[in-house]
Amino acid sequence: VRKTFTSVAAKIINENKNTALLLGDIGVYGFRDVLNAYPERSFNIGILEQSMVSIAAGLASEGIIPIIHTIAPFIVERALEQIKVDFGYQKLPGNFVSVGASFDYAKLGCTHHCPADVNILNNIPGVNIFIPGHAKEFENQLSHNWSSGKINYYRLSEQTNSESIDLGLGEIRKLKSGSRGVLIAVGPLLREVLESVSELDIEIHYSNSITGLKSMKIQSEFPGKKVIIVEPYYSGTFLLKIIEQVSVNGCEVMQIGVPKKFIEKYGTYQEQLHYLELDPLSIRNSVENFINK
Amino acid sequence: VIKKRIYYKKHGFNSEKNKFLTYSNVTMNKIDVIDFQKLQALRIKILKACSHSNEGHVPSAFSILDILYSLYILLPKTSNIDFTKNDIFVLSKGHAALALYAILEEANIIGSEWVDTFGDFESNFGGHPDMNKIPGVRASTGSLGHGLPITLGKILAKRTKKIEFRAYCLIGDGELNEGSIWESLMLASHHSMKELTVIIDSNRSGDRALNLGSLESKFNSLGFDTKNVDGHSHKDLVSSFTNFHDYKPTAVIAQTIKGYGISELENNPAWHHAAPTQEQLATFIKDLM
Repeated sequence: VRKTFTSVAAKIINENKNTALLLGDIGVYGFRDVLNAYPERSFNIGILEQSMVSIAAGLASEGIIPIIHTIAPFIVERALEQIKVDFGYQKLPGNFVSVGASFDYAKLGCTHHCPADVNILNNIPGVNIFIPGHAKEFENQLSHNWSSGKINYYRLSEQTNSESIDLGLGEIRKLKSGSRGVLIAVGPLLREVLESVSELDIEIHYSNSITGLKSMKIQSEFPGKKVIIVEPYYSGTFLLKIIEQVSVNGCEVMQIGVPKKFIEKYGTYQEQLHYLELDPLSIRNSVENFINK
Repeated sequence: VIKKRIYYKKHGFNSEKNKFLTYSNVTMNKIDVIDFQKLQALRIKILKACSHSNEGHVPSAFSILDILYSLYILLPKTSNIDFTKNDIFVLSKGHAALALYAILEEANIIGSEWVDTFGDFESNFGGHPDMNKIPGVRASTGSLGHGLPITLGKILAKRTKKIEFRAYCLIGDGELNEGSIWESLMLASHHSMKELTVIIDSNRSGDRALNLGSLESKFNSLGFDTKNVDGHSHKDLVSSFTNFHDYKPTAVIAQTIKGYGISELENNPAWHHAAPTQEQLATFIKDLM
């Protein structure tokens, strides 16, 4: 995914004079050619995320569309107020590309985890959030949205699904029919979902973005009146987008996501999935218990 | 002239008074007095706006009024600076917005409606400036520590367009507590932002929390071309706004008095975020007339 980011962003910078790249001392080697080729528009700003975001807003205010990149918590949590005020309040466009997601840096510990990013950014009016499940999905998302005039947050993860599913912004696509419930998987956790519950008699839907709009539409008759949402971050945001539809149809809801606790364990990503009950077996158990209840 | 001399004596500006007394050019004296009268009128408008809404930071506005007047009114007379075109001014200490509104009106960038609508529900003029509502406002500031890095971004953008410009950003000395300001100062120096003048409204209001000691030595050590000026001397301010280094950014440490112009407000923390009653307003206006 990172390589895709480098190549797509390089293409955007190369082909559009009204763009700029700002790195928070992350991805510098990967972007070395861009940094060398466009020193007036591409910067390794340094490890000062608050200023980096404000500078990006200053660029945007003068018509230069910025791509801002560093590890998720250092953009979203450290520089949140800069995103809120300098981009959100000032109504300026920008593309924030983070790496690390919820706990990609499993061995590095909690300081580098960011399971809260999606919920946090959803509190800034108008932010579009992309949660690509595949490098190809991200390529399409960045290519089609970088100049949308919106605040776009692309949540990159090293964990990807086996196949790319190309969706539009805010689209929820049905992958499989079923009669006992509806499961919506978001981003890279589709891999674990398909591995665990694809044989169950449930509808499976997939989405890889969350719009800044109030609601998103799921195409379903809601069989079984049970809805399961599987998100690779703190649960919550996706349900908000479909809550009216779900309640009108009288559905019971279960959310599966990263539990709200500090993950004070290290190890591998897979070990953390198991620890957090997001591994295929745990997901299957949760889903079966829910639809059989 | 006599009124101005009394005014400066009253307010204890020996350096300014001395400069004033050494002026030999009669024309300069005349212009100076006209400016003084205009500034008194602007102070009255600021007080009226604040009283109208029972909101606003008048002492902070008075602290920077001479700085903004020098930038927007005097500087364009002797240079090609034009803030309605390519040149940039960002008020990073957004709570001093009343001064900005007054000066934008004086510079004919906005009308006079801010005085009677300040803080109203449908008004474009709030306690902090909104760049999407007010012509001439280049950043929506209010949260301290944002305006300077935004200015840096504007500079980088202007550079890509190969446009000649100057960028001025006014920050408060209290705002110097913010880490993002120091981040940006380092960046401005690193990127040799010779187009930038950072003006520090050094009214010492931050000292009660964090005394930063010598600002001059700090800015020098960060790689700025630093000037220490009387922040109420138009001559010194205009001079500092027109002299730049070949590659270093400029820092103008403007020594100001918070609440400058009305003795009761000067360096009086009780007035930091207070509005005058009708009775106080009448008294202050009488003093200023």
